[in-house]
Amino acid sequence: MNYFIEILGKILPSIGITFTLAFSSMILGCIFGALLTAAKLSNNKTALGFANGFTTIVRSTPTVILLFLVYYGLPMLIALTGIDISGWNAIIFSILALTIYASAVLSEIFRPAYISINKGQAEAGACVGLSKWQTLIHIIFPQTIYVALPNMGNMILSLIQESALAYLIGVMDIMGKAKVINSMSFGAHIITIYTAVSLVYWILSIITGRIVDGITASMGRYLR
Amino acid sequence: MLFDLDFAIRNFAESLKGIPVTLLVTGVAFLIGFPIAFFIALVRLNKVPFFSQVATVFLSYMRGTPVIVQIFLVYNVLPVILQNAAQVAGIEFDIYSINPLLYAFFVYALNASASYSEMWKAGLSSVAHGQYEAANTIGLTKVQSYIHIIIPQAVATAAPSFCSGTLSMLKNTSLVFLMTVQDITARAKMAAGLEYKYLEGYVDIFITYIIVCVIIERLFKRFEKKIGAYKLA
Repeated sequence: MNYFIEILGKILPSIGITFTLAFSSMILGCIFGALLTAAKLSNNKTALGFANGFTTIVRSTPTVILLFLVYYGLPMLIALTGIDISGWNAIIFSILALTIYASAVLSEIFRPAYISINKGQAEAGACVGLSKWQTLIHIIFPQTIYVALPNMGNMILSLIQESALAYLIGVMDIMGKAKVINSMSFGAHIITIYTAVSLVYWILSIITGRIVDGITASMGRYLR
Repeated sequence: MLFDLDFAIRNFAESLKGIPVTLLVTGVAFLIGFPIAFFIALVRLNKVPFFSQVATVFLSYMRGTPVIVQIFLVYNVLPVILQNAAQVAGIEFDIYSINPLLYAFFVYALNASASYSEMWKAGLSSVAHGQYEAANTIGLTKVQSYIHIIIPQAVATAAPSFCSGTLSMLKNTSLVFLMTVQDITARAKMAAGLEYKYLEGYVDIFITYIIVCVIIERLFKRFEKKIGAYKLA
Protein backbone atom coordinates (compact mmCIF):
# COMPACT_ATOMS: atom_id res chain seq x y z
CA MET A 1 0.00 0.00 0.00
CA ASN A 2 2.84 2.35 0.88
CA TYR A 3 4.44 1.47 -2.41
CA PHE A 4 1.16 2.20 -4.16
CA ILE A 5 1.09 5.72 -2.69
CA GLU A 6 4.76 6.20 -3.55
CA ILE A 7 3.98 5.33 -7.18
CA LEU A 8 1.02 7.69 -7.22
CA GLY A 9 3.33 10.43 -5.98
CA LYS A 10 5.72 9.77 -8.83
CA ILE A 11 3.00 9.60 -11.49
CA LEU A 12 0.94 12.61 -10.48
CA PRO A 13 3.36 15.34 -11.70
CA SER A 14 3.16 13.96 -15.23
CA ILE A 15 -0.60 14.58 -15.37
CA GLY A 16 0.41 18.01 -16.68
CA ILE A 17 1.78 16.46 -19.88
CA THR A 18 -1.37 14.39 -20.36
CA PHE A 19 -3.44 17.56 -19.93
CA THR A 20 -1.22 19.50 -22.31
CA LEU A 21 -1.64 16.80 -24.95
CA ALA A 22 -5.39 16.46 -24.52
CA PHE A 23 -6.32 20.13 -24.23
CA SER A 24 -4.04 21.59 -26.88
CA SER A 25 -5.22 18.99 -29.38
CA MET A 26 -8.81 19.70 -28.34
CA ILE A 27 -8.41 23.43 -28.96
CA LEU A 28 -6.57 22.96 -32.25
CA GLY A 29 -9.04 20.22 -33.18
CA CYS A 30 -11.95 22.60 -32.62
CA ILE A 31 -10.39 25.18 -34.95
CA PHE A 32 -9.60 22.73 -37.75
CA GLY A 33 -12.81 20.81 -37.12
CA ALA A 34 -14.81 24.01 -37.58
CA LEU A 35 -12.92 24.72 -40.82
CA LEU A 36 -13.68 21.20 -42.05
CA THR A 37 -17.34 21.65 -41.17
CA ALA A 38 -17.37 24.92 -43.11
CA ALA A 39 -15.86 23.06 -46.07
CA LYS A 40 -18.47 20.32 -45.79
CA LEU A 41 -21.31 22.84 -45.79
CA SER A 42 -19.87 24.93 -48.62
CA ASN A 43 -20.73 24.69 -52.30
CA ASN A 44 -17.08 24.41 -53.26
CA LYS A 45 -16.68 20.89 -54.70
CA THR A 46 -12.91 20.67 -54.03
CA ALA A 47 -13.25 21.75 -50.41
CA LEU A 48 -16.17 19.39 -49.91
CA GLY A 49 -14.33 16.45 -51.43
CA PHE A 50 -11.21 17.15 -49.42
CA ALA A 51 -13.10 17.47 -46.14
CA ASN A 52 -15.11 14.29 -46.67
CA GLY A 53 -12.09 12.32 -47.84
CA PHE A 54 -9.99 13.54 -44.93
CA THR A 55 -12.69 12.58 -42.44
CA THR A 56 -13.20 9.11 -43.90
CA ILE A 57 -9.48 8.37 -43.98
CA VAL A 58 -8.72 9.65 -40.49
CA ARG A 59 -11.75 7.98 -38.97
CA SER A 60 -10.74 4.60 -40.36
CA THR A 61 -7.17 4.82 -39.08
CA PRO A 62 -6.25 3.63 -35.59
CA THR A 63 -4.91 6.53 -33.52
CA VAL A 64 -1.73 4.63 -32.78
CA ILE A 65 -1.00 4.33 -36.50
CA LEU A 66 -1.77 8.02 -36.98
CA LEU A 67 0.73 8.78 -34.24
CA PHE A 68 3.46 6.65 -35.80
CA LEU A 69 2.76 8.03 -39.26
CA VAL A 70 3.08 11.61 -38.07
CA TYR A 71 6.16 10.84 -35.99
CA TYR A 72 8.06 8.98 -38.72
CA GLY A 73 6.45 10.36 -41.84
CA LEU A 74 6.15 14.10 -41.27
CA PRO A 75 9.87 14.78 -40.75
CA MET A 76 10.58 12.83 -43.92
CA LEU A 77 7.96 14.77 -45.86
CA ILE A 78 9.16 18.13 -44.58
CA ALA A 79 12.78 17.17 -45.23
CA LEU A 80 11.94 17.33 -48.94
CA THR A 81 11.67 21.10 -48.53
CA GLY A 82 15.04 21.12 -46.82
CA ILE A 83 13.79 21.84 -43.31
CA ASP A 84 14.81 19.42 -40.59
CA ILE A 85 12.14 18.91 -37.94
CA SER A 86 13.20 15.44 -36.80
CA GLY A 87 14.70 16.99 -33.70
CA TRP A 88 11.40 18.39 -32.50
CA ASN A 89 10.01 17.22 -29.23
CA ALA A 90 7.82 14.12 -29.44
CA ILE A 91 5.10 16.10 -27.64
CA ILE A 92 4.64 18.28 -30.73
CA PHE A 93 4.21 15.24 -32.97
CA SER A 94 1.75 13.74 -30.50
CA ILE A 95 -0.29 16.94 -30.41
CA LEU A 96 -0.27 17.03 -34.21
CA ALA A 97 -1.47 13.44 -34.49
CA LEU A 98 -4.17 13.92 -31.87
CA THR A 99 -5.24 17.16 -33.57
CA ILE A 100 -5.70 15.35 -36.88
CA TYR A 101 -7.81 12.74 -35.14
CA ALA A 102 -9.80 15.31 -33.16
CA SER A 103 -10.52 17.61 -36.08
CA ALA A 104 -11.97 14.76 -38.15
CA VAL A 105 -14.25 13.64 -35.35
CA LEU A 106 -15.18 17.17 -34.26
CA SER A 107 -16.13 18.16 -37.80
CA GLU A 108 -18.68 15.34 -37.71
CA ILE A 109 -19.92 16.67 -34.35
CA PHE A 110 -20.21 20.31 -35.48
CA ARG A 111 -21.90 19.59 -38.81
CA PRO A 112 -25.13 18.05 -37.51
CA ALA A 113 -25.17 20.56 -34.63
CA TYR A 114 -25.00 23.47 -37.08
CA ILE A 115 -27.67 21.95 -39.31
CA SER A 116 -29.94 21.43 -36.30
CA ILE A 117 -30.20 25.17 -35.70
CA ASN A 118 -33.47 26.46 -37.07
CA LYS A 119 -33.17 28.56 -40.23
CA GLY A 120 -35.50 31.11 -38.67
CA GLN A 121 -32.72 32.06 -36.29
CA ALA A 122 -30.56 33.36 -39.10
CA GLU A 123 -33.52 35.14 -40.67
CA ALA A 124 -34.42 36.72 -37.35
CA GLY A 125 -30.82 37.89 -37.02
CA ALA A 126 -31.00 39.48 -40.45
CA CYS A 127 -34.31 41.09 -39.58
CA VAL A 128 -32.95 42.89 -36.54
CA GLY A 129 -30.22 44.30 -38.77
CA LEU A 130 -27.25 42.12 -37.86
CA SER A 131 -24.69 41.45 -40.56
CA LYS A 132 -24.06 37.88 -41.68
CA TRP A 133 -21.01 37.54 -39.44
CA GLN A 134 -22.71 39.15 -36.47
CA THR A 135 -25.60 36.71 -36.83
CA LEU A 136 -23.16 33.80 -36.94
CA ILE A 137 -21.15 34.93 -33.93
CA HIS A 138 -23.95 36.12 -31.67
CA ILE A 139 -26.83 33.87 -32.66
CA ILE A 140 -25.82 30.74 -34.51
CA PHE A 141 -22.50 29.73 -32.92
CA PRO A 142 -23.60 29.82 -29.26
CA GLN A 143 -26.55 27.58 -30.06
CA THR A 144 -24.44 25.26 -32.22
CA ILE A 145 -21.91 24.88 -29.45
CA TYR A 146 -24.62 24.16 -26.94
CA VAL A 147 -25.99 21.36 -29.11
CA ALA A 148 -22.49 20.00 -29.71
CA LEU A 149 -21.33 20.23 -26.09
CA PRO A 150 -22.19 16.72 -24.85
CA ASN A 151 -20.33 15.19 -27.80
CA MET A 152 -17.44 17.63 -27.33
CA GLY A 153 -17.26 16.45 -23.74
CA ASN A 154 -16.96 12.85 -24.93
CA MET A 155 -14.25 14.02 -27.32
CA ILE A 156 -12.09 15.56 -24.60
CA LEU A 157 -12.49 12.40 -22.52
CA SER A 158 -11.45 10.22 -25.42
CA LEU A 159 -8.52 12.57 -26.13
CA ILE A 160 -7.29 12.16 -22.56
CA GLN A 161 -7.34 8.44 -23.12
CA GLU A 162 -5.88 8.43 -26.61
CA SER A 163 -3.07 10.63 -25.33
CA ALA A 164 -1.94 7.58 -23.33
CA LEU A 165 -0.55 6.28 -26.62
CA ALA A 166 1.96 9.13 -26.88
CA TYR A 167 4.41 7.28 -24.64
CA LEU A 168 4.97 4.88 -27.55
CA ILE A 169 6.96 7.62 -29.28
CA GLY A 170 8.69 8.63 -26.07
CA VAL A 171 6.51 11.30 -24.47
CA MET A 172 6.84 11.40 -20.70
CA ASP A 173 3.17 11.53 -19.79
CA ILE A 174 1.50 9.33 -17.17
CA MET A 175 2.13 6.20 -19.23
CA GLY A 176 5.72 7.16 -20.01
CA LYS A 177 6.44 7.75 -16.35
CA ALA A 178 4.83 4.42 -15.46
CA LYS A 179 7.02 2.68 -18.00
CA VAL A 180 10.15 4.19 -16.47
CA ILE A 181 9.10 3.24 -12.94
CA ASN A 182 8.28 -0.25 -14.17
CA SER A 183 11.65 -0.82 -15.80
CA MET A 184 13.49 0.63 -12.80
CA SER A 185 11.84 -1.97 -10.61
CA PHE A 186 12.55 -4.64 -13.26
CA GLY A 187 8.88 -5.36 -13.82
CA ALA A 188 8.39 -6.69 -10.30
CA HIS A 189 5.56 -4.29 -9.45
CA ILE A 190 3.90 -4.04 -12.82
CA ILE A 191 0.41 -4.81 -11.50
CA THR A 192 0.64 -2.19 -8.74
CA ILE A 193 1.98 0.39 -11.16
CA TYR A 194 -0.67 -0.01 -13.81
CA THR A 195 -3.42 -0.22 -11.20
CA ALA A 196 -2.24 3.18 -9.99
CA VAL A 197 -2.14 4.46 -13.57
CA SER A 198 -5.66 3.26 -14.29
CA LEU A 199 -6.85 4.89 -11.05
CA VAL A 200 -5.29 8.22 -12.05
CA TYR A 201 -6.93 8.11 -15.49
CA TRP A 202 -10.24 7.09 -13.98
CA ILE A 203 -10.31 9.98 -11.52
CA LEU A 204 -9.12 12.38 -14.22
CA SER A 205 -11.98 11.28 -16.49
CA ILE A 206 -14.58 11.53 -13.75
CA ILE A 207 -13.47 15.07 -12.85
CA THR A 208 -13.35 16.16 -16.49
CA GLY A 209 -16.78 14.64 -17.06
CA ARG A 210 -18.18 16.58 -14.11
CA ILE A 211 -16.69 19.84 -15.40
CA VAL A 212 -18.17 19.24 -18.85
CA ASP A 213 -21.59 18.55 -17.30
CA GLY A 214 -21.29 21.77 -15.33
CA ILE A 215 -20.45 23.79 -18.43
CA THR A 216 -23.31 22.19 -20.36
CA ALA A 217 -25.74 23.09 -17.60
CA SER A 218 -24.57 26.70 -17.43
CA MET A 219 -24.68 27.03 -21.23
CA GLY A 220 -28.37 26.12 -21.18
CA ARG A 221 -29.30 29.80 -21.16
CA TYR A 222 -28.23 30.16 -24.80
CA LEU A 223 -30.91 27.77 -25.88
CA ARG A 224 -34.16 29.34 -26.90
CA MET B 1 16.52 8.24 -45.84
CA LEU B 2 13.94 7.99 -48.58
CA PHE B 3 10.65 6.20 -48.79
CA ASP B 4 11.27 2.68 -50.12
CA LEU B 5 8.26 2.06 -52.35
CA ASP B 6 9.36 -1.44 -53.38
CA PHE B 7 9.62 -2.51 -49.79
CA ALA B 8 6.25 -0.95 -48.96
CA ILE B 9 4.61 -2.95 -51.74
CA ARG B 10 6.30 -6.18 -50.70
CA ASN B 11 5.43 -5.61 -47.06
CA PHE B 12 1.82 -4.83 -47.90
CA ALA B 13 1.06 -8.55 -48.28
CA GLU B 14 2.30 -9.05 -44.74
CA SER B 15 -0.19 -6.60 -43.29
CA LEU B 16 -3.00 -8.14 -45.37
CA LYS B 17 -2.21 -11.48 -43.69
CA GLY B 18 -3.11 -9.91 -40.37
CA ILE B 19 -6.67 -9.06 -41.42
CA PRO B 20 -8.22 -12.38 -40.26
CA VAL B 21 -6.80 -11.92 -36.76
CA THR B 22 -8.07 -8.35 -36.54
CA LEU B 23 -11.51 -9.48 -37.69
CA LEU B 24 -11.41 -12.43 -35.30
CA VAL B 25 -10.66 -10.26 -32.25
CA THR B 26 -13.38 -7.80 -33.26
CA GLY B 27 -15.87 -10.58 -34.00
CA VAL B 28 -15.31 -12.51 -30.79
CA ALA B 29 -15.45 -9.32 -28.74
CA PHE B 30 -18.73 -8.49 -30.45
CA LEU B 31 -20.23 -11.95 -29.88
CA ILE B 32 -19.34 -11.92 -26.18
CA GLY B 33 -19.89 -8.25 -25.50
CA PHE B 34 -23.18 -7.73 -27.33
CA PRO B 35 -25.37 -10.02 -25.15
CA ILE B 36 -23.61 -8.98 -21.93
CA ALA B 37 -24.18 -5.35 -22.87
CA PHE B 38 -27.89 -6.09 -23.33
CA PHE B 39 -28.16 -7.40 -19.78
CA ILE B 40 -26.15 -4.49 -18.39
CA ALA B 41 -28.56 -2.12 -20.12
CA LEU B 42 -31.57 -4.02 -18.73
CA VAL B 43 -30.14 -3.93 -15.23
CA ARG B 44 -29.53 -0.20 -15.50
CA LEU B 45 -32.90 0.62 -17.06
CA ASN B 46 -34.81 -1.38 -14.46
CA LYS B 47 -32.59 0.01 -11.68
CA VAL B 48 -32.02 -3.44 -10.19
CA PRO B 49 -30.56 -2.76 -6.73
CA PHE B 50 -26.87 -3.55 -6.25
CA PHE B 51 -26.33 -4.82 -9.81
CA SER B 52 -27.10 -1.46 -11.34
CA GLN B 53 -24.57 0.22 -9.02
CA VAL B 54 -21.97 -2.38 -9.96
CA ALA B 55 -22.77 -1.77 -13.62
CA THR B 56 -22.39 1.99 -13.20
CA VAL B 57 -18.95 1.63 -11.60
CA PHE B 58 -17.89 -0.87 -14.26
CA LEU B 59 -19.02 1.42 -17.08
CA SER B 60 -17.36 4.46 -15.53
CA TYR B 61 -14.08 2.52 -15.17
CA MET B 62 -14.16 1.18 -18.71
CA ARG B 63 -14.99 4.60 -20.12
CA GLY B 64 -12.53 6.38 -17.89
CA THR B 65 -9.36 4.39 -18.51
CA PRO B 66 -7.39 4.05 -21.74
CA VAL B 67 -7.60 0.69 -23.50
CA ILE B 68 -3.83 0.48 -23.41
CA VAL B 69 -3.85 0.53 -19.60
CA GLN B 70 -6.54 -2.13 -19.56
CA ILE B 71 -4.36 -4.22 -21.84
CA PHE B 72 -1.38 -3.93 -19.51
CA LEU B 73 -3.53 -4.83 -16.52
CA VAL B 74 -5.24 -7.82 -18.10
CA TYR B 75 -2.04 -9.09 -19.67
CA ASN B 76 -0.32 -9.07 -16.30
CA VAL B 77 -3.11 -9.73 -13.83
CA LEU B 78 -5.06 -12.46 -15.61
CA PRO B 79 -2.17 -14.96 -15.74
CA VAL B 80 -1.58 -14.55 -11.99
CA ILE B 81 -5.25 -15.14 -11.24
CA LEU B 82 -5.39 -18.13 -13.57
CA GLN B 83 -2.26 -19.64 -12.03
CA ASN B 84 -3.60 -19.26 -8.50
CA ALA B 85 -6.91 -20.74 -9.55
CA ALA B 86 -5.13 -23.67 -11.15
CA GLN B 87 -3.07 -24.20 -8.01
CA VAL B 88 -6.14 -24.18 -5.81
CA ALA B 89 -7.88 -26.62 -8.13
CA GLY B 90 -4.74 -28.75 -8.19
CA ILE B 91 -4.34 -28.63 -11.95
CA GLU B 92 -0.88 -28.52 -13.47
CA PHE B 93 -0.74 -26.07 -16.27
CA ASP B 94 1.65 -23.63 -17.77
CA ILE B 95 0.21 -20.13 -17.97
CA TYR B 96 2.77 -19.17 -20.55
CA SER B 97 1.24 -21.68 -22.94
CA ILE B 98 -1.97 -19.63 -23.13
CA ASN B 99 -2.46 -18.03 -26.50
CA PRO B 100 -2.26 -14.22 -26.09
CA LEU B 101 -5.32 -14.07 -28.33
CA LEU B 102 -7.39 -15.12 -25.33
CA TYR B 103 -6.25 -12.06 -23.40
CA ALA B 104 -7.11 -9.91 -26.38
CA PHE B 105 -10.60 -11.44 -26.49
CA PHE B 106 -10.98 -10.72 -22.80
CA VAL B 107 -9.96 -7.05 -22.98
CA TYR B 108 -12.06 -6.24 -26.02
CA ALA B 109 -15.08 -8.25 -24.83
CA LEU B 110 -15.07 -6.17 -21.64
CA ASN B 111 -14.72 -3.01 -23.68
CA ALA B 112 -17.47 -4.06 -26.04
CA SER B 113 -19.88 -4.86 -23.22
CA ALA B 114 -19.30 -1.40 -21.79
CA SER B 115 -19.68 0.54 -25.03
CA TYR B 116 -22.58 -1.48 -26.48
CA SER B 117 -24.52 -1.24 -23.24
CA GLU B 118 -24.89 2.53 -23.64
CA MET B 119 -26.23 1.93 -27.15
CA TRP B 120 -28.57 -0.83 -25.98
CA LYS B 121 -29.82 1.49 -23.28
CA ALA B 122 -30.61 4.23 -25.80
CA GLY B 123 -32.23 1.71 -28.16
CA LEU B 124 -34.32 0.00 -25.49
CA SER B 125 -35.54 3.24 -23.97
CA SER B 126 -36.62 4.47 -27.41
CA VAL B 127 -39.19 1.68 -27.64
CA ALA B 128 -42.53 3.15 -26.56
CA HIS B 129 -44.08 1.80 -23.40
CA GLY B 130 -47.24 0.87 -25.24
CA GLN B 131 -45.28 -1.80 -27.06
CA TYR B 132 -44.60 -3.67 -23.80
CA GLU B 133 -48.24 -3.38 -22.84
CA ALA B 134 -49.46 -4.52 -26.25
CA ALA B 135 -47.19 -7.56 -26.10
CA ASN B 136 -48.52 -8.31 -22.66
CA THR B 137 -52.15 -8.01 -23.77
CA ILE B 138 -51.84 -10.51 -26.59
CA GLY B 139 -50.51 -13.02 -24.09
CA LEU B 140 -46.78 -13.05 -24.76
CA THR B 141 -44.52 -13.83 -21.83
CA LYS B 142 -41.89 -11.30 -20.85
CA VAL B 143 -39.11 -13.19 -22.66
CA GLN B 144 -41.24 -13.67 -25.77
CA SER B 145 -42.17 -10.01 -25.92
CA TYR B 146 -38.51 -9.04 -25.66
CA ILE B 147 -37.46 -11.44 -28.41
CA HIS B 148 -40.26 -10.73 -30.86
CA ILE B 149 -41.29 -7.14 -30.14
CA ILE B 150 -38.84 -5.12 -28.13
CA ILE B 151 -35.37 -6.24 -29.24
CA PRO B 152 -35.98 -5.96 -33.01
CA GLN B 153 -37.16 -2.37 -32.59
CA ALA B 154 -34.36 -1.49 -30.19
CA VAL B 155 -31.73 -2.92 -32.52
CA ALA B 156 -33.26 -1.09 -35.48
CA THR B 157 -33.05 2.24 -33.66
CA ALA B 158 -29.57 1.64 -32.29
CA ALA B 159 -28.17 0.05 -35.47
CA PRO B 160 -26.18 3.12 -36.60
CA SER B 161 -24.43 3.43 -33.24
CA PHE B 162 -23.84 -0.33 -33.04
CA CYS B 163 -22.18 -0.16 -36.44
CA SER B 164 -20.00 2.83 -35.72
CA GLY B 165 -19.11 1.33 -32.33
CA THR B 166 -18.01 -1.91 -33.96
CA LEU B 167 -15.97 0.00 -36.51
CA SER B 168 -14.18 2.00 -33.86
CA MET B 169 -13.54 -1.19 -31.90
CA LEU B 170 -11.99 -2.72 -35.00
CA LYS B 171 -9.60 0.24 -35.15
CA ASN B 172 -8.85 -0.02 -31.45
CA THR B 173 -7.85 -3.67 -31.75
CA SER B 174 -4.68 -2.37 -33.40
CA LEU B 175 -3.27 -2.19 -29.85
CA VAL B 176 -3.21 -5.97 -29.53
CA PHE B 177 0.28 -5.88 -30.99
CA LEU B 178 1.33 -4.95 -27.44
CA MET B 179 0.16 -8.43 -26.40
CA THR B 180 2.13 -10.09 -29.23
CA VAL B 181 -1.08 -10.96 -31.09
CA GLN B 182 -0.35 -11.17 -34.81
CA ASP B 183 -2.88 -8.72 -36.21
CA ILE B 184 -2.54 -6.24 -39.09
CA THR B 185 -0.41 -3.84 -37.07
CA ALA B 186 1.83 -6.45 -35.45
CA ARG B 187 2.64 -8.30 -38.67
CA ALA B 188 3.52 -5.31 -40.80
CA LYS B 189 5.32 -3.58 -37.94
CA MET B 190 7.49 -6.56 -37.21
CA ALA B 191 8.41 -7.22 -40.83
CA ALA B 192 9.22 -3.55 -41.35
CA GLY B 193 11.20 -3.39 -38.13
CA LEU B 194 13.54 -6.12 -39.32
CA GLU B 195 14.76 -3.80 -42.08
CA TYR B 196 14.40 -0.56 -40.10
CA LYS B 197 11.74 0.61 -42.54
CA TYR B 198 9.19 1.72 -40.00
CA LEU B 199 7.49 4.37 -42.09
CA GLU B 200 6.88 1.96 -44.97
CA GLY B 201 5.38 -0.48 -42.49
CA TYR B 202 3.06 2.12 -41.01
CA VAL B 203 1.93 3.29 -44.43
CA ASP B 204 1.04 -0.32 -45.26
CA ILE B 205 -0.93 -0.67 -42.05
CA PHE B 206 -2.63 2.67 -42.70
CA ILE B 207 -3.77 1.61 -46.17
CA THR B 208 -4.89 -1.81 -44.97
CA TYR B 209 -7.07 -0.33 -42.26
CA ILE B 210 -8.63 2.14 -44.66
CA ILE B 211 -9.52 -0.67 -47.07
CA VAL B 212 -10.94 -2.88 -44.32
CA CYS B 213 -12.89 -0.06 -42.69
CA VAL B 214 -14.35 1.25 -45.94
CA ILE B 215 -15.52 -2.24 -46.96
CA ILE B 216 -17.05 -2.94 -43.56
CA GLU B 217 -18.69 0.48 -43.48
CA ARG B 218 -20.36 -0.31 -46.82
CA LEU B 219 -21.64 -3.62 -45.46
CA PHE B 220 -22.94 -1.92 -42.34
CA LYS B 221 -24.78 0.69 -44.41
CA ARG B 222 -26.61 -2.11 -46.22
CA PHE B 223 -27.42 -3.81 -42.96
CA GLU B 224 -28.75 -0.56 -41.49
CA LYS B 225 -31.06 -0.15 -44.47
CA LYS B 226 -32.34 -3.69 -44.12
CA ILE B 227 -32.93 -3.53 -40.41
CA GLY B 228 -34.59 -0.14 -40.76
CA ALA B 229 -37.69 -2.10 -41.79
CA TYR B 230 -38.26 -2.99 -38.14
CA LYS B 231 -38.33 0.61 -37.10
CA LEU B 232 -41.70 2.15 -36.38
CA ALA B 233 -42.18 5.41 -38.21
